[in-house]
Amino acid sequence: MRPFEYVEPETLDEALEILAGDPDDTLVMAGGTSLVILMKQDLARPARVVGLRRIAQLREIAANGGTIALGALATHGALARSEAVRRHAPALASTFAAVATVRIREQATLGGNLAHADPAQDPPVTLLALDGVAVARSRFGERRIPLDALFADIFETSLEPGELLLRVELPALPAGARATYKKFLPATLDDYATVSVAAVVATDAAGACTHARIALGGAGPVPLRAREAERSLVGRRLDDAAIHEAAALAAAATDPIDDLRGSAEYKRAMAGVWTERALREVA
Amino acid sequence: MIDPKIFDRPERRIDGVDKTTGAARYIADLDIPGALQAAFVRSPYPHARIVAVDTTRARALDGVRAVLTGADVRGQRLGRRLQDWPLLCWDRVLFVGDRVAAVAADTREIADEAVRLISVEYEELPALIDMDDALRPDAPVLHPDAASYRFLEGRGERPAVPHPNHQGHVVESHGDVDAAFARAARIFEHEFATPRIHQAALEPRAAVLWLEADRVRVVSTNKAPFNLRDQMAASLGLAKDRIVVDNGTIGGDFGGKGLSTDEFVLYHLAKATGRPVRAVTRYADELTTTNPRHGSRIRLRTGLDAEGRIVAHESHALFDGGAYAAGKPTVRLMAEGGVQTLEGYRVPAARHEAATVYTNNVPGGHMRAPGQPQNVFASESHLDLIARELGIAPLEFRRRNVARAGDPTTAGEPWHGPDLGALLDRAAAEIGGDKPRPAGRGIGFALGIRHVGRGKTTISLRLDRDGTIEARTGVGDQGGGQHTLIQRIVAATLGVDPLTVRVRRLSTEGPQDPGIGGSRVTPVHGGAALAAARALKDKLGGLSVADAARALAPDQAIEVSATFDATAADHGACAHAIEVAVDAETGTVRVLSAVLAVDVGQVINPVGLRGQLEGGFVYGLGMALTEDLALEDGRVRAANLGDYKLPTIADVPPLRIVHLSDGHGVGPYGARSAGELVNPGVPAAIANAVHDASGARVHTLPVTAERVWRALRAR
Amino acid sequence: MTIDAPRATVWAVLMDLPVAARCVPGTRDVAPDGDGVRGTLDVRVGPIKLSLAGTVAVESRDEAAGTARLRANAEDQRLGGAVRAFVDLAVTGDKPTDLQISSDIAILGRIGELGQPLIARHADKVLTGFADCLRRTVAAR
Repeated sequence: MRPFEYVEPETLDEALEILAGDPDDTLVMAGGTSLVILMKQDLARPARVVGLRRIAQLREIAANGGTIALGALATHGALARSEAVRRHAPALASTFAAVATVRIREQATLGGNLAHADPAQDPPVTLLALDGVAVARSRFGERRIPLDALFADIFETSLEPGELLLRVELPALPAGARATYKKFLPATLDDYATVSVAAVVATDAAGACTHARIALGGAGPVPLRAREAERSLVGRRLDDAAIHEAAALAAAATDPIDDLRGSAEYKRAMAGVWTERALREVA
Repeated sequence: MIDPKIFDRPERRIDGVDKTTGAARYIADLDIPGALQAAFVRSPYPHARIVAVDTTRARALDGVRAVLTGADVRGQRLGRRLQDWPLLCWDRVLFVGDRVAAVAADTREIADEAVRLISVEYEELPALIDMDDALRPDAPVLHPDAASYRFLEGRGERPAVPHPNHQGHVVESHGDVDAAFARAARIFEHEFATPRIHQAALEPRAAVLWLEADRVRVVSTNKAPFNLRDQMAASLGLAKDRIVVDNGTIGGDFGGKGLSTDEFVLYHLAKATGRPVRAVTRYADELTTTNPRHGSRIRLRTGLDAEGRIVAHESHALFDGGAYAAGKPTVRLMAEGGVQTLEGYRVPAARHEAATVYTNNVPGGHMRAPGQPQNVFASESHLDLIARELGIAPLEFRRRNVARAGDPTTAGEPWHGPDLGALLDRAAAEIGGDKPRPAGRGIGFALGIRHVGRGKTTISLRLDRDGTIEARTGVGDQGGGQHTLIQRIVAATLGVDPLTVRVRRLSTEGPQDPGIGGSRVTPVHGGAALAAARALKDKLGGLSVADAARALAPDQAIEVSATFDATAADHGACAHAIEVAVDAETGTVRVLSAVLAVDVGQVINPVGLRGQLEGGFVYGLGMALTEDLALEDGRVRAANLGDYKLPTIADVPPLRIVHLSDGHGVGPYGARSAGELVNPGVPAAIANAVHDASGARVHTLPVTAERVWRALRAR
Repeated sequence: MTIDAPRATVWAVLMDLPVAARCVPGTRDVAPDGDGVRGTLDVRVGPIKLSLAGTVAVESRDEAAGTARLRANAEDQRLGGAVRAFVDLAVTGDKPTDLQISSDIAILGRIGELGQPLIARHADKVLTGFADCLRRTVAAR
């Protein structure tokens, strides 16, 4: 590890000032669970690290009517336990509860998770399916970034240098909507997902689908929405045929990476299987 | 004769409090004033010639105290038996991670920076990654100077091998195998493969060394300190008694810490700087460049008579020994547990051929039951496949062929030892082997036997006036409970509270000790503790310990010493019955429950034993389902424990252990060894259960979901 | 990829190593080095920054067949790792000219711990950026 300067600003504005000063050689630390590992391996060698933990406002979880705002510094553990999160969608709470191990969940944060942009992570998948919007601020102003525009590539977001994630806002779900998150863990239970699927659907009185969201993790360089699969469901009854077709479309939309968790072929097939299972659950 | 019920009471581990409170001091924690930190330059190529090494910039860095290259240690090689591994390469590098230069600096950061500043020019050479390539008649010879290598004394010269790229090669047979095959009603042949896997002890290897006027002092993680001393003496050209190895707390071992590579270079760094020098291995280097379990390819052929009884058996096993044989301590340079396939069964005629092969992969070494998990995976999968082909239930097939007392075994010896049939039956009964199961669920069986180790050691006891006893031994405790074992046996024999017995570990300045390994501590050190305690009891002449102590003058003590040579042949045995569920759509395997029926003889440390048996199960679970130190072009792909997956507690199924003993254990109070008994059978039992549950047969470990999925789709 | 330019122009740009090297996204300090070039390639993946300093040289070329192989060697001083790549170029047709680029990349040392999929993906992006820049450069001639 290279010697570095560590600063802990008290306020958000202070943090943004510091970041604006030297965005290139400064890294931001929330929970530190990913950053510190990279620093210990010498893969990240910042001259300065800005620790955010004193900025309490970034931890807040605030429900307002049917909408909810999740603070960037809220830990996965706090989010998993939050009543407000569970009321918004039980699947959202269980997504946060599915992250890694209890030790990680108590330390790692939502904002750190999103900024790290590992496509196999859990929260982005469900947040995508819930139409999440990230709010980011720099010294120059605030920006709203729909989550499907936040992730640019593996470990890359569209955040500009000097920009900090403040929170993720989720709109109200359609009345009667059901959501689920399926994490496929074929090896050990503390692992990243080999693939994961978040599905949200709502149906009308006749049983026809009025709202469909299918998001996939571990299925490409970024977490992705299977839009063609979603469109195929709207207006249809969610019977076996519809679900099967949607699952096939979702699998076709994936661009998985061959790695130690599985070949691209296997991951693509599993994307189809788990999309089908997710849809059956919420149908 | 004592009442063995005394051992039913759970023990209190001697090292327990220190380790759980953080008071235990590992090598990295030791306060050694003035110690420098070492770091190494490692080859990025699997096979290359070293053209030039430029250390100028490294030497100029502030805080760098010494820089060494292969030229500084030319001709010096290390190894546990065959010393074929250069301390630092001076001519060619033979695997990714082979060391080329060493630095000693004031801090670890400076040492790492110096390593970055050393530039090495390599000329890449064709790499032998595959064992078959290495054994071709025209293959490049990786060790052309092998005849000049030192073979450490002990039991003769290095055995000759047919191909220069063999490390070891053995052929063993009994009975007229060809004739037996000719008479067989049915013959079956199958091939299996297992990957390299890593010992994955929590503490990476480490060492610190300093020079005194006429002594070289070493403190390291090696669990066989006398062997390390002798290896260093041979490599460095020093008299044995000039080197003192004093290895204290070791944070886990599982076989990997029998090979040391740092201490030898540290000697030269200490000489060059006049200061103590410490090396603590990065975990990434521990995973990728130290001595993992050998990968294997094993082909088995078995002939049966019309009643489904084995009449002939043949095995061909190849073990990937990697760039150096240095990690193997046996004379035959073999993963010895991998030779005798179909262990535990009645085999009237058998021929076994096994070889360890030089390749440009990471060198193989010893890991919990060396060679055996590979062996048992192949053997038990093979038996299961044969049973199904013959239309006989796998359990019934095993009953028909298991070795009963006096039966010829695959090694040619008549079987004497645990009642293997009874263990199988018990495991099957406990798992409910005969109950019908819902679709997608299945049961698999495996039988594992493990020799009880042999060796000789000396333990001395001193009784003080305060009634406490100090036991002195040269063996360490790497978490296996070795010291608690000694304490319990001494206390039980003398009829005293174990808490009044202290165990003190001596350095190599004390009596000779064989170290931990080879499943020897229970019979050897346990036996020595028993002998010493009996000797002390005799010396007390009928007095109780308390009375004898009270009779002592203030500065008086009673001392005895016993040297014990454990030579009796014996085995422990474990029958596995494991139930799994297979999700046919994804191939996912979930282990639902497992039963181990074990014969470990008399239990001395019930808590420690549970740790070894349950821990051995989890060890086997990892090999079965998730562990794979995969190589790509000779480079290990998983350099951290996030990618190299070990089972977590959440992955461990309900596990039931039942004890069944024939009562003939040769260890102290009838004990048998246990530490390496369980892990070998687990992968086989799981692979068999997966087949039972889904029809998918996986011939390669680990049995990943993807492999099961592919096997199902191929049907 | 197809370039709307004469084959001779495309070939000339490819063989002009200082020009071609500057087309690799992230390169700086490009200077001739014997028959080849040296320079530094900055790689940034999330918080990870690498500076690969090295050389590119023409390993073999066959103008008539329109094929060439470049050899790139670069070291990362900070991590103590290296990248070694062979880039094969194949030029066919003539206005439009078709250019095929393939590469064989070996990651050595500690950079490899980043994970091969990540590196492979980044290499793809670099090659794509290189191809786009090449097209622009050729069009400007």
